Amino acid sequence: MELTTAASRKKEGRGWAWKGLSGFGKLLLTAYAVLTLYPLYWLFISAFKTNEDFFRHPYALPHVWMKENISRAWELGKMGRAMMNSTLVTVAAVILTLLLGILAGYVLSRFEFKLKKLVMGLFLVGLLIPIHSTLVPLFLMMKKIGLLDTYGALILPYTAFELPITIFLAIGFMASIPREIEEAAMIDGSGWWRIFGRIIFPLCTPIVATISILAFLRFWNDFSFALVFINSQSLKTLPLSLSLFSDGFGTDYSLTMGAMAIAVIPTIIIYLILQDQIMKGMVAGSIKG
Amino acid sequence: MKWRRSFPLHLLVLPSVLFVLIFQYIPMGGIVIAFQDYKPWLGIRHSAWVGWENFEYIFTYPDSKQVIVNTLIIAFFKIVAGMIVPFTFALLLNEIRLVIFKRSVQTLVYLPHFLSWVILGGILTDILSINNGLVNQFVSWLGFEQIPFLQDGSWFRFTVILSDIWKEFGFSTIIYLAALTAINPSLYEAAETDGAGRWKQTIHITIPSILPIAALVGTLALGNILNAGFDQIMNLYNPLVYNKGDIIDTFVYRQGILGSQFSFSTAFGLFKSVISMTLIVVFYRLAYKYANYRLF
Repeated sequence: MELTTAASRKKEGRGWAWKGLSGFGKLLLTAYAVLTLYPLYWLFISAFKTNEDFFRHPYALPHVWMKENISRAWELGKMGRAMMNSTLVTVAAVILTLLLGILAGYVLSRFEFKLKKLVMGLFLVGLLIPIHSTLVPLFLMMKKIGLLDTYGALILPYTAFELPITIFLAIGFMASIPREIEEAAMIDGSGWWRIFGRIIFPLCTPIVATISILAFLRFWNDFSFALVFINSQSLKTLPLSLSLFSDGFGTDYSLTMGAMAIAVIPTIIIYLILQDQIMKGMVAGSIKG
Repeated sequence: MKWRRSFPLHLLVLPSVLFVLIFQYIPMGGIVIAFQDYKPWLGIRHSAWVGWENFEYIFTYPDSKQVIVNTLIIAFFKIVAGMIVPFTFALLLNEIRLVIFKRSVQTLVYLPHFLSWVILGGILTDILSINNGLVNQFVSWLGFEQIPFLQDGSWFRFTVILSDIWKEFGFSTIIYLAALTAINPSLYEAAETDGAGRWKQTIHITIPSILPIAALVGTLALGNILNAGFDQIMNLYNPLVYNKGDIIDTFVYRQGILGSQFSFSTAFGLFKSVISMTLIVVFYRLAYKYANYRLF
């Protein structure tokens, strides 16, 4: 998205000093853009090099394009499994978060009931609870109820920790939807469910997008919960198996690079698809909830 | 009648409430083990109560003071730089009139925010490695000695702070860019009529207009003074830099989960949380009072 700023103001009245400064600014920004992209570019070229090539010519393109690095990393690192785990956990947690969060947000923004203040307070404090301080007690609790080392060990806490912010975003958004729409629908004889399904939910698309993006990012990239709650190889998510990858194949750089290149691709694709939405969502969601 | 009609709807909040209660509040209750000498085979009910002993231990344990200092230093520089860099960047970007250029830079800068520290940690470890790393090959080509970015404590801090800014500042810039779009263009027109150049306009209109947002962001960021970034440190550090790079969160993880010192690490975590939460509440109040900022 392009933010049209007031900089589209008139171009007159700039002297040579300003031109110089502007040129310098452009240079600086270009340098930065290169700096942002270079590590990724380097990762992708390194992923196709032999170990020797990697050390000898770190800046150059690969002498021989070693496509088997990628397939070897995929197999040895059990990347397919990890990617499936990550996808499963992320998708399940995002859906659960959305479902529960939007419904709760709807109820809290539309109805008055006795315990409403208490419920709101509960979520507010939930928003402030720092994740890492309850990590050890959470670990002990999960161990006790046998949840440790299952998909649930990730899906459920992810959802729980994402719910408060989701609910407040949803409440904030739904408060801006005029009640008259619902009243009109009610007069026409629609029940609450119909109103929610046909009117409220479709109107909520922007906030649903924002919530999904935020949640996706959090879950897909999460490292600490996976590190603490998951142990078996077959359940490891992408970040976790990747971090352990370098322990096992630490000296085999081409293999490590191959694995990282594989892991980075889904994120980049999602980024490219959603970057428009993200910018809008952040602008709307970050300052005012 | 009305109550009966809407009763099932209230119930829709229940799953969310249960989720939050079970996974956020019950573990918070588990924090009582900070006041115990918790033994897993005895459980919370039968472990011995030791009062403030674990907390006293925090201040006598030789490593913990260093860990707190490390956390404060790293977080402080991250916060300060995290304010200055996006602010400056937004101003620079605002002055660019070439739309394509502006758009591509804008799109590009927050890409790193999307990458996890596991991947970036892997890339950084290789790029900055001491023998054949990209950067060090360049440094020795220039004729300098190789730099131990991840092997020496002070360099490690520097690396951590710099790479965090590199990753996050583009994303923080979005807020400022949004604030810039909200400036009333007639202000600039008036200034131009009065003969103010671009530089004067920047100083007298642009900067004062987005300063409140900057102050707000900064105030809220101060609540993070004890969050130095678990994922990042975890993926970059090694025993060589524990002295200057170990932070509270990583320390708690090593002692608690790996070392099974459940009570001590929980006490440490609680100590951190109480301070953080106090700070967050105080700063939110300040933000509310002086900038009229409300999250809800």
